[in-house]
Amino acid sequence: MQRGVYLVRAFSLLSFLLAGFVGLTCHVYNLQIVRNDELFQKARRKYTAHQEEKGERGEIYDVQGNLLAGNLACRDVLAEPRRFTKTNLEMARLLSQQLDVPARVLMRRFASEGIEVTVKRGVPIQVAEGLAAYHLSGIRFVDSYRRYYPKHTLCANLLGFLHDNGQGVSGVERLLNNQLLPTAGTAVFERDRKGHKLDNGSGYEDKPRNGAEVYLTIDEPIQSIVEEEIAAMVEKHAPAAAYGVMADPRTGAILALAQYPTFDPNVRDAAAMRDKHYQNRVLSHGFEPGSIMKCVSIAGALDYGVVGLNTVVDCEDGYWVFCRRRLRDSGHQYGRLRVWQIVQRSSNIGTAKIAVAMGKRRLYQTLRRFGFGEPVGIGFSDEAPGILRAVPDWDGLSVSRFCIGQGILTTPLQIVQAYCALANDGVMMQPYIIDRIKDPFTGLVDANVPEVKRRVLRPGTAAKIVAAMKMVTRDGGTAEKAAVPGYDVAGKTGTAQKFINGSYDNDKYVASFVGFVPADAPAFVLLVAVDEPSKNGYYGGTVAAPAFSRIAEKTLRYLQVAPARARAVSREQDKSGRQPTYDSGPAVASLP
Amino acid sequence: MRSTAATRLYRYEMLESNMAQVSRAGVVWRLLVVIIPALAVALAFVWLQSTTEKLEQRLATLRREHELREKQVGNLRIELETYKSGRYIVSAVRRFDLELRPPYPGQVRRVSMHRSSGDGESGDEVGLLARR
Repeated sequence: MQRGVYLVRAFSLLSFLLAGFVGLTCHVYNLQIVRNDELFQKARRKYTAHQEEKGERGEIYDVQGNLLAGNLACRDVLAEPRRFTKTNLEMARLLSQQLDVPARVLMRRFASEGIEVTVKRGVPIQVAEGLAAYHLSGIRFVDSYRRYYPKHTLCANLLGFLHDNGQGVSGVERLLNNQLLPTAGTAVFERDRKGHKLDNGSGYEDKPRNGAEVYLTIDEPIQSIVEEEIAAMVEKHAPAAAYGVMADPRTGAILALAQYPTFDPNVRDAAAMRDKHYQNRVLSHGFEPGSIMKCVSIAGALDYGVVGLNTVVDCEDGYWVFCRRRLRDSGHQYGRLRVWQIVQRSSNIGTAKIAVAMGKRRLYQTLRRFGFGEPVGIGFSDEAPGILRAVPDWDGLSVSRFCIGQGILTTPLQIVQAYCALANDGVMMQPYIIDRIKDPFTGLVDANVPEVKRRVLRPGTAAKIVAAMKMVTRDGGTAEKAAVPGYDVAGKTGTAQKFINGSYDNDKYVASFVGFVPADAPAFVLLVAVDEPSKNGYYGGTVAAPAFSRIAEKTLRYLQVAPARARAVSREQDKSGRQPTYDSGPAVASLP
Repeated sequence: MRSTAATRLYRYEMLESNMAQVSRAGVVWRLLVVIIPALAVALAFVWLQSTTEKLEQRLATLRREHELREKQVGNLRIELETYKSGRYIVSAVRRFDLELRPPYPGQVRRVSMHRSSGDGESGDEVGLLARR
């Protein structure tokens, strides 16, 4: 009997336990299997937090990998005034002392309605560490980066600078802003009961990606040489502006691009910003090129077979009346000159007569083929097309003025592009400034390859005009000072009066020299242009040519271009009065 | 199988014995044998936990320090670029009157050396060679 009672009790207990166990199993099944994902995520949300992490903006290098724009690691200091344990005034004074921000500015920020306010951005790490040592309640540090240009003013106008919000404002920083911008990622970390981050390592949902690395075609040592010489020239001639542009005629790659005035992108000087010294005027500034246009016009005439190098042109006795307007040769009475002598001595009248013989349509075609009146297409949005009016808009005088660089506007880069074509046997290459872009994440490199734009002259014609241009830097030429000992220099001077308020100003000039060395196998084409030189001369031959010579000499040394052996011999021949022998045009013909 | 009470020749008797006195020492001894290692294990566990905690804290501090130093090295590397620039070097040569000068044109020849890289691909390496 008693045994039966025990059995019943035992059975009841076991049933109860079994039921409990089954219930527990069901509950565990529900938690672990059915609601697993939901509860796992819920728990995860409790002890983990997400934080957006930014990568670094892409760095900019020269063609050889010298850093031109990088990022300095620093910290942003943020404050949450309601968590201050000291008074706002005490905090403002302390922070002002440490971070060099006026205390009244901080007081104003602390009084604002925001929960968290910025004290200062881009604080150097050492300074931030020093401040952190105070263990101030309500002060938070956030890792960040500050754009830094280690070469300061070098290449500054090309590189451009950033807005405070990290977006490119000008130059390459703006042009390639999308590629340079980093991609933000999401970091996941565990936090304690109070929500503080635990230092047990954190993972990423999405890893932040740094921006692409951009390599320019600029060669830093060459850029340094050009900027140094431009600065020396500016000191001597005190111009309003000056430009130096160097390019490789065989590829179209820009090797150096310098200008004055310039700016230091690390120092936001208010005056420099106001006067827009950050603008890349090599691309955007149009000027009347003056005599450096003559080579282009005469090259066109040679190409059309209108004249040959030995064709004789009557350059009058100092002036020539065309369409009831006088054209002068700056006080020179050249009389009869051959075409190569017109180039050598830069005769306005001679060039104008050749252009008139060529006709306005063919002159226009020539100028268009050489890229005038349209942007070079280097990629920058602020690139100017210059001004070259269409033939129907020309007046009777235009043909005699456009050919000598009056009445048209060009940018320094357009001039360099045109002379690159002359130096490259008549083949115009597409100028470019971005050599390659490398994605640091995938390692893929997007490289620019030299691209032929078009042929602007027949090869034979290019050789002829180069032969004439060589004479410019020799005895009797307008730019003897552009000569580089040991090398043949082909080039052309320009001294253009500035067109101000409807007339040509007799006191304001643009002096320039553009040329290439060695003339027969050019290592580079270089333009030196000086806007409004105010002392020690204003001619292209006296202001720009010496700078050209010094830059060319140093660059040739840097590039280790050996001097031509035949140079001395040919020079002796030239002194003896022998003329270039390239002529295939109408040698016996002459223009009235 | 045990035989029933009627048939078996012997019977079970309840024996009383005072084991308490005899086994007290043994019980205490047994308890100590259990408790002391357990206590030791517990203490060791606590000690290990606190050591781990300290080491983790130290590791976190070192990791932070490392990150900081890495950033400072990165900053110094960028600063170095300033001093590597041609303009700075030329001005330093002038300032310290080192009488250094660039090579004459043709004094340095660029030579290309063909080499085989580790992964079996061939590559070019351009080096500079001074003539004199």
